[in-house]
Amino acid sequence: MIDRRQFVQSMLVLGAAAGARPSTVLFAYPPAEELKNLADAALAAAKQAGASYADIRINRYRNQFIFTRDRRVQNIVNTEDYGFGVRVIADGTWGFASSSNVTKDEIARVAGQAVAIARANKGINAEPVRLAPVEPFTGVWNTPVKKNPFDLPLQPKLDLLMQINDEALKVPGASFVSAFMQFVDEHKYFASSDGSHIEQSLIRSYPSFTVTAVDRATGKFYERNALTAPMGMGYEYVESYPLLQEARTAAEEAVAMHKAKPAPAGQKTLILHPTNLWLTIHESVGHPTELDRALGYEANFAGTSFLTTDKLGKFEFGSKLVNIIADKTQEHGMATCGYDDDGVKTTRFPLIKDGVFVDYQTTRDQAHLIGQTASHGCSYADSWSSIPFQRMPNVSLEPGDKDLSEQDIIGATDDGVLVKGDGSYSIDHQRYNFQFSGQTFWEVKNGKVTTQLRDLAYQSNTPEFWKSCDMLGGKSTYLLGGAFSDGKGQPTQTNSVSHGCPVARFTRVNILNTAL
Amino acid sequence: MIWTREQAKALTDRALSFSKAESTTVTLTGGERANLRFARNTATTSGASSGYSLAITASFGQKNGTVTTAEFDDAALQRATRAAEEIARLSPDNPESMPPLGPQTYSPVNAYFDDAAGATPEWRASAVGAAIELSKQRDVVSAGFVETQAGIQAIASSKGLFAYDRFTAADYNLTARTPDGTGSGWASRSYNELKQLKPEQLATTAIEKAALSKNPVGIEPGKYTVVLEPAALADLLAFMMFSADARQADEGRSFYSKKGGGTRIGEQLVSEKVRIYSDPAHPLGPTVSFDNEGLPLSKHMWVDNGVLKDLFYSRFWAEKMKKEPTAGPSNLIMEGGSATRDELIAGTERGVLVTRFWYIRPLDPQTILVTGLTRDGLFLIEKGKVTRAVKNMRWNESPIVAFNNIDAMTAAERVVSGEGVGGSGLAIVCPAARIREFTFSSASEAV
Repeated sequence: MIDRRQFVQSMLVLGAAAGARPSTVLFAYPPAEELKNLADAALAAAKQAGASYADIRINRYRNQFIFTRDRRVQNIVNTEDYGFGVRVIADGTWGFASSSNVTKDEIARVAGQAVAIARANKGINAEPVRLAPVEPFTGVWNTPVKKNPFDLPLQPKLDLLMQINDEALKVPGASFVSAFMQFVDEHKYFASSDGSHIEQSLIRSYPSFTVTAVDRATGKFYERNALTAPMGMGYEYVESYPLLQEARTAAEEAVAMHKAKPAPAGQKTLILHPTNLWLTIHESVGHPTELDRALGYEANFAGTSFLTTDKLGKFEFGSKLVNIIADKTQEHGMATCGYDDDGVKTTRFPLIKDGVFVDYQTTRDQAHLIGQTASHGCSYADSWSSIPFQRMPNVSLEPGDKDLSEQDIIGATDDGVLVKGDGSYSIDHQRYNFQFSGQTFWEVKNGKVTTQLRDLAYQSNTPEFWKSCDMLGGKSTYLLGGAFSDGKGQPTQTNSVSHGCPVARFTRVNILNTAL
Repeated sequence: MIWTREQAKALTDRALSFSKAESTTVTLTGGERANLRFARNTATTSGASSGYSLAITASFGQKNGTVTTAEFDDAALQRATRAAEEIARLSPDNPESMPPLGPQTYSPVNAYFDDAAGATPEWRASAVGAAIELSKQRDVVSAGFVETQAGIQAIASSKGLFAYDRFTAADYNLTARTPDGTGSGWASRSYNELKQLKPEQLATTAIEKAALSKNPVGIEPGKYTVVLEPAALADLLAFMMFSADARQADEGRSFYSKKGGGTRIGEQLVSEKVRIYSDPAHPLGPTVSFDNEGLPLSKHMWVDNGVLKDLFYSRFWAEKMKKEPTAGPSNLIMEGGSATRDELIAGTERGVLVTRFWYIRPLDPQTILVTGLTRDGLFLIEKGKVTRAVKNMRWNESPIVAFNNIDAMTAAERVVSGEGVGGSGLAIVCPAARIREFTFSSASEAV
């Protein structure tokens, strides 16, 4: 699930530490030779303590957040976090320990601690760990960015954010604007007793804003968020997105919401823009195709899945138009990387083929549970201090064969609504019943967009919804959406993931008016 | 062992000694935590971590720069301090910036217990082993989580502020499911003190709920009287209070905004039975004694007899509005009533008993309308008795509406909500309640 509250709270915590930091690197990341020495020390200590398998991740995370509101810079916050985690299998049982003190002595202590933890749990482990085989890899993989945001000065970023503030507040009736940029560099080194030594640097960028229009007389207010998405790209994404135009449009639409027509209630044809549909894909396709959920490993928190293993290869998930791909190699995807946190080379594989459920997302320790001999490379840990487990790759809906435009789909619709941008989102713990809102809503009558609507949500059931998909836009309508804060596991870990899709149409979907 | 007051003070003194800024604030957080997960009636993953982080904020007038570092030798501290100063000089003036606090007076609280700080991997394994054993005996499949932690927070400024506090937490939660997949039960608790946590008792609760919730039937969505167990009520409480920010209200963009301007402080917003406050010394949910800026935490009333008494004021907004700042609360206490859980059920002609909620998200901030689902035990009540398990449902409701419709409550207890609010960070103490006309909007097949 996307943990928006945790994301907001982390922003608040950062906001409380008012200030800024230049992009100079505080901790020099050790050179490859030293990383290898540290890693080898961990693997040797684990082996000596009795581990049959060990891996170590030595990771450094840099974040930059720049917050502005109403033409003022509120905060520029740079964070840096550095540490290591050692994972072992001893007596067939997983153990893990970690520390922010990256020294050879501490690494040896922590490796021993990981083995001791595994041994303490041996008596209650009824399923000895079995790892799918993996080739040893030695190599480097970096997000192919044109402009590394951490190498750029602050001033152009501040200037652009101020311009966004200006553009939005110029619109009569726009009351407030908050605009921010977030940049992430996840630099990690992985080594395992299977012989891998892998170094990766993953860069992600996200510019966004919210415009609020308050009407003091009526006491009503409406917000409109930017339709931007976080991306596995550098600053070139920020520069290529028409942010000023989007700020103007957002402000105009927030103001117009006060006079928009109340949403209808009942069954309607629903046209979803990629800026909305990505989140519906995330919740209704991404999560139920996670193997750990289907097998009960997440039953206590994130939940299980209606896509139980007996449905694999035969369950009719959607209409024949629906082809959904898992892909950790997708260009600009937030989950894109060279190797996962099990050291498995990343791949692309179908989850839903011609409407039929055909595969799960897997890791090395769970692939064998459905008779597969190799992992799909979906292991990830959000910190050096977190235990890797199965996390979602980029999961995307393929565009239609014909290159239909958004206008073609609207033109073919007699009575419907068009939804853009992601809003409220909620789905049950087996991923059947969901309810999503959006940023803007539009009435479609006789092939034309007629007027703006407000207070709308759609509610459906996953297989019914996907079976009702009757039109797909073509490649030219395809966009990536995504989130930094997909939450899963205990303690909760976040995962960055993208979802690509075209404009798509669904018939007879239940629409609600959400005004009380 | 986590860092002592003396160790923390030595580090913050050393960090402050390197500063060349007009003023400096340093914040140290960290500690040790360890966990064990289980699922399918077997242990799955288990880990431990130890780490500390120091945030250094350098200020020149209204220009500020913050750097975080996890390396504490002199060279690393000096590098971090210089970097904070450099960014402060580059940063534009922030008119909302507040100067660092000087010395404060804190009321001592005790949120730290040796037994939780000293919990061993063997203790965690035995806590999980007990649940697995019971689950096998009762023919259910369980998944769950146990975590123990000890942490510190310290803050110091060049104006003479120094504060240090420590806390512990022990969390245990599990979900038991029947092998046929038609029944599911859940229990969750978090305490500062390990000995208050009763793994076998929690396992028994979850297992019994799983058995009771087997083979549910569907009922028509609509308005129902609900008996919300404390874990369900806690989420409504949290969502009501998450949006209680004074600035948002003054700016006209909150439920707590008054039409025409100002806030709704002083207005009766919910049933007069409702009293909500924060108190770091509350025996059921003790917390640290200061917030992340160093402001002292003390008992503070938010809602009394249903009347809104205060909202959250940051130091900046308080100064602007000529109010007292309210330290960021570290617990929420909702007082209960005198009914027992059985009495809440016995007084219900027709309604549903809710174990927990799930995936709650805001729909409309103007009314705090939120949506969510029920999970892990939903039961029909007819003529004062629980008669059978029913299928889960989605609900769309505002906590404000729900808290206006409270009929009766049990005594308050320490609780972790279905969404996980109530562990370390924000302790929650609240009752179970019977609430009229709660709105369910659709059916869910999920078990």
